[in-house]
Amino acid sequence: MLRKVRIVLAGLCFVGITLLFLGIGRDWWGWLAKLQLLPATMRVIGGAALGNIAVVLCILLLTLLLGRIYCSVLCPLGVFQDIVLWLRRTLGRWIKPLRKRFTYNKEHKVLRYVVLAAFIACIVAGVQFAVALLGPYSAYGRMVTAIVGNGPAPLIITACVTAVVIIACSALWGRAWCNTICPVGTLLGTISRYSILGIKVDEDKCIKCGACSRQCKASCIEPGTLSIDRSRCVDCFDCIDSCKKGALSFGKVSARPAIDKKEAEGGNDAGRRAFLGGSAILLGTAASGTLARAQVNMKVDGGLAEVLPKEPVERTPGLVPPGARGLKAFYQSCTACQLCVTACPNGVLRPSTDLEHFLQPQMGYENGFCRPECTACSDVCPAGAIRPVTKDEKTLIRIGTAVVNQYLCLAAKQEAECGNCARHCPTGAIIMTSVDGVRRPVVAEEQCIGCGKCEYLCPSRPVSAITVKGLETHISK
Amino acid sequence: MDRRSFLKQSGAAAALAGLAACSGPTKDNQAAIHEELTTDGPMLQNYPGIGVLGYGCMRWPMIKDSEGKDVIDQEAVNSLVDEALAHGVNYFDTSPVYLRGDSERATAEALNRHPRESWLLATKLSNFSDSSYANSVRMYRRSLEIFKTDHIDYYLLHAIGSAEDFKRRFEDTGIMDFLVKERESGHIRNLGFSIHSHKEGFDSMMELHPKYHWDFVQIQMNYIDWTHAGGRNTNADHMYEQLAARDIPVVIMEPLRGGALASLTNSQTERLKAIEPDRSVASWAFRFVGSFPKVLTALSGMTYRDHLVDNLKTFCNFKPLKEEEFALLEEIADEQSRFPLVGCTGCEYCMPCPYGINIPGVFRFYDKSVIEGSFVKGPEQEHYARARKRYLLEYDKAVESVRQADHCIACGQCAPHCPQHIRIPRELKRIDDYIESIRQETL
Repeated sequence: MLRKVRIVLAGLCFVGITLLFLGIGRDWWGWLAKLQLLPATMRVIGGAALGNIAVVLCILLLTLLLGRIYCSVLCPLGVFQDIVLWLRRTLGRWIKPLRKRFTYNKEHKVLRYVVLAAFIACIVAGVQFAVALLGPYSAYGRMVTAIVGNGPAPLIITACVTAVVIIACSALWGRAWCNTICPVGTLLGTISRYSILGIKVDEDKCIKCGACSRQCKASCIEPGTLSIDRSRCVDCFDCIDSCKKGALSFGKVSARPAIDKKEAEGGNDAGRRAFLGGSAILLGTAASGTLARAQVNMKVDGGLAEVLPKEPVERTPGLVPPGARGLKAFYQSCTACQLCVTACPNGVLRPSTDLEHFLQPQMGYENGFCRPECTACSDVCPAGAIRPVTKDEKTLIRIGTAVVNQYLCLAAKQEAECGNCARHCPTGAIIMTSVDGVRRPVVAEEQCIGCGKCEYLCPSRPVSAITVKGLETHISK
Repeated sequence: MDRRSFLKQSGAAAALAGLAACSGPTKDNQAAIHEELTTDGPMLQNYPGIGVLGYGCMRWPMIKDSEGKDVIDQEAVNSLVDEALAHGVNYFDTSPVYLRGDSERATAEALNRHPRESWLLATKLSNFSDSSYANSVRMYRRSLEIFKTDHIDYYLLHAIGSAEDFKRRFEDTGIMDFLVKERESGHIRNLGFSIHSHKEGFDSMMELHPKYHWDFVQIQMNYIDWTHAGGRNTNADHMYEQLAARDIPVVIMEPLRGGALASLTNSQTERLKAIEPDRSVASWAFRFVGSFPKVLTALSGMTYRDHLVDNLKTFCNFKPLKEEEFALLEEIADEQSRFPLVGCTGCEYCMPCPYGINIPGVFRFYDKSVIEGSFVKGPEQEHYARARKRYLLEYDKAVESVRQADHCIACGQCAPHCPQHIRIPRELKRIDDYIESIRQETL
């Protein structure tokens, strides 16, 4: 019964979060993202917001009460591993090599806490890279985003490596990833070691057949001693159903930790090699062959002129969305879950490929601009890296400044009477003015909010003549 | 279960995608859906031997070639031409500049599969960019070469814009004398012109009739342009009367106004269908032009077989409009002239825009939304949020974002090419402002 409830709840959360990453039904299950521990914690670290403190406390208290139910229901990566296991078990009915039982393993305590300590150190030191790689929510988000084919090559490659590691790990060793590497798992495990409720064994009914131990994907039931390592138990309740004698139940357990005496040697679990690849963006410019037209001069009608795609521009400082308050604040809180990248309807946000902010989002205005009426990223961000802003607030936040390159500007070069940037600037920051007798655009820096409409609409291709560079600290007008 | 259904769905999607990729560009299987024509009567002819339904070769169907470029679907053109000829459509109108300069070649390829005497060739001297004598003669000879013929049945001075335009491109260069000589020697059977001009321009061309003897004149005529041409275009009623008075045969272009008259507002459609429930909305536009006895032929750019079949239904066993039906169309024209339409006919003379804007695409989307009533009126309208979302989605679908109106830099290079004299940059700006106000919800 408990197991079925767990499966139903986990299924609902999993589908919701997956759809969220696919950009479907944000209004319905957007709240699921806010219940994720790591993003919520980052949000609290980045500056308290009452709701997020409540979320973190609730999860911790829930764990203290029930154990790691979070890992079996709310964590999408955990549920994903359960699905892999279910698949293996189902296929195992017909394919013999897949048939495999679990066996009890000792806890890799040293490795667990070393990873957790290193992870916390990374957060403190601001090495967001580690948060992006190891955060379970981010890892899952990355995989879904990559399946849909969004994102640059490094994102997809990292997602593939993540998927391979996670699938292999879970298929071979059950919840070994969660119980050895995952920092969230270790943190919650530390609490659940002392949880009030947990799986317990009725010694009178138990015949020591070991069925539960073989069923336990967390490998945490020691068959001989009847002890259950609650720091690794993820409350899946599979063991309860597996016991033919009904010896296992979920209820109040003694306050004493189940296993605390044994030292475990660090095992050599599957590591993760971060794959870093520079993105080679090749712009295929189709050679436009002109038809031989028997020496007759004529302008022929119809057809569309080729429009060169715009090349990404190097921006220093980088651009991050309104609500981020600035580069430092943004990069400290962001867990690189890709939710904002999926949510951005304007093609502006994309995962960064540079090492310093690997996979954390950055902005670019080649395919669109940060539209004044859109607050999608700030609405979805679960980590508080992009704080909620209203439409009105948004148009008053300066996130960057437009800079004109007069060597590319069609007006400055006197190739066309353009002025498209000035015509479209929502704040009137761009003025067409006469410089040495040539009409060209100039920017009133203080008026410019860095929305990028000018850059997006600039006819100069493949590089816009007006580009936006970010502001280290965002300024509210 | 989630996993299973996910696999099922993605598997099905992959299979579909694979199928689509294998089948390549989809083409109507002409043989499979061959609808029997109800052509119990002969093709209408006002002048012996010339079908009043003429083929405009400016809108041939396109497909993607192996490199993904748009090219004319020759196979489809051939079968359209075959079917048209079989039903008495024998006047084919093209130009060296149509369809990126490829229309003459494709049309010739289809027509030359039939005896030369079975079709009438109309092509044009489209000497817009280089109107020198030498270049004009080359253009003329090239047309003869492409059609592998020694005579052109109807040769047009392409798109006269004004008296000055005629003088500059044709008289001053001396090419008029050349063309008149070619007519005398029989290489040009009929010499005429097409015109998109204000009234003065048209009248001055009429004054030249005694000098050049125009064998025919091609004008834009339909029930809108009859008395509501608008802008600096001449009403068709004036042009038709002037031509009829001089006994000059009239060739009609844009009888459907670039397809705009195939789709009217609901109430207008209702009134037409109440009279002829089984006839298309478009058929009314063709019956309008077909009802004038001086019409030599009315050109229709029938891209698809459906267009051809529908038009054949109209012109075989033709029923001229009755008095009250004329009045109804006049009423509809009156209503249409009050809509904020751009009035683009999609001729693509303005294209390609050097900055990549899909000018006719933007105008088509906008005009269609005005006529169909799908445009966004404001927050107080019913289902406003849905209408807004849908409108913006459809705009993005109709026109690629980098080719939308906001990318127009107002360089104005397009405007002089427009035969409808649309102030293109200004209209694009108007549409962009409207769409931006929908996006920002400041409508």
